[in-house]
Amino acid sequence: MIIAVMLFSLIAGAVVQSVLPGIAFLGRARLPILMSIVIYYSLVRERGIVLTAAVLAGILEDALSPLPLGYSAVCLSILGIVVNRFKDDLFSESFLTTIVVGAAAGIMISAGMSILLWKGDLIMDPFWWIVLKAVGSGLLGAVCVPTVFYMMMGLDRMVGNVQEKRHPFDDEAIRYI
Amino acid sequence: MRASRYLTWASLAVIIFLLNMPPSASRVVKGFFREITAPFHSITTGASSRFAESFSVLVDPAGRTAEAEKLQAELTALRGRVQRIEAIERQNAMLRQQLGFSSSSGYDLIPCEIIARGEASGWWEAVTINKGQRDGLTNNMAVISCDGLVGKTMAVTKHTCDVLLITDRNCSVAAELAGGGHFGIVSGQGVTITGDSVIDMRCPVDPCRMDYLSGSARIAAGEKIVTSGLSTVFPRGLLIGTVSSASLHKSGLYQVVRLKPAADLGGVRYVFVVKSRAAAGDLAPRSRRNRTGDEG
Repeated sequence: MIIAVMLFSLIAGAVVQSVLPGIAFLGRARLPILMSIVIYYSLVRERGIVLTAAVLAGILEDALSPLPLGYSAVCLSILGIVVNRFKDDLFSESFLTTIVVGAAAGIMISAGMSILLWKGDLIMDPFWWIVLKAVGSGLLGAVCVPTVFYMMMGLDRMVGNVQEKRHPFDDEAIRYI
Repeated sequence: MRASRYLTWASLAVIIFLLNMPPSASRVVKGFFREITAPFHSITTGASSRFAESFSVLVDPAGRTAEAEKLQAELTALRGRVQRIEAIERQNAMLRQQLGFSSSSGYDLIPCEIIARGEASGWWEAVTINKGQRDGLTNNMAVISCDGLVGKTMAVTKHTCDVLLITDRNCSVAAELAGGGHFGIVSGQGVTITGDSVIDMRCPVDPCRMDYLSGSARIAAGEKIVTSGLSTVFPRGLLIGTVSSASLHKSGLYQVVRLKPAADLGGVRYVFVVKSRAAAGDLAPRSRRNRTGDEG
């Protein structure tokens, strides 16, 4: 069921991401929905699931754009591993965590991708434009990641991928199965 | 735990495989995933445009009526023009026959609908259209709208195709002033500015510019710029845009023209791919700048 939810959310996310227009004054950065889904899995699941989500999201992003196949998968996998490594040190379900991680991830992914594309002689954007795009991706990440995080959590709860337990000392404890 | 470890190794193997995949196999994989998402793209785009139309009627019914009246007036005027053009065409055909010329039929146009605006990564200025290899499309074919040049095809799959817009920095077009005699290169500046879209940038960045125009050329604002035919992609005579302003390059060697694309790149919904073209012109080698990731 985890994989089914993942596939559904990734395909829907890819379509929405490619249909929504980029924002010009943020360097044409697009709403990073696929990245947000990878971050969701990184904060709540183990590494195998995270990498599976990252690779699938990367393939979809590359397939729906002129990017060479594998570039996004590499960037998203590195991002997923890094976030997953520190998830136990973070309040992974806190709203603030998702905002900060989203902003940092947006900048990281944009910078990583621009290095790969620049090295491959595939883009001709000036440096200021790439910086603008990175800042834009950070801002959009800060908005998109919390939204997608709570939507994904709701979806997982709805299909039963998450068990909710009442505990006398906690308001609500969530266990991912 | 063991399953997680297997998934980790499998994912890493897939990444290595993807990065080392030959271009032909890469195109197949990309095509597969694009085919999966294409129907969802069509549905989403159709639904959003219908929603936008309904919303605009609700918000501004008087504006819609005025627009309908304006369109009716335009239609009447255009009908008159079509009748005149048909008469000229008949006369032209008759004269050609008399002179023994073969018919120089311009281009075969494949009508296409835009099913996605922009592409998922946000690094290129591109749109996706609903025709592909099955309809005879290949890489590097010119794409036009009824107003002017839109871009060129790239990343063609069986049923869909990406179109790199002329506003993208990777897209260069050999061009000339419509008056003739002065050639240059039109390149995109990375941003599509439209008059209608509120989400687009509202600052003076020109969507396109034309470089390497002779310093002696007299250029007037509003002058038309068309494709020169000196490339393998764009046939001669397609309208690119109109001159906004012109200035001498800082080196003093040539003039730089800022231009406004004739086609409404942010709002266009239907485009035409130029399938075949007249044999004349188009002899220059392909530019290194025209490469994109998928072309191999």
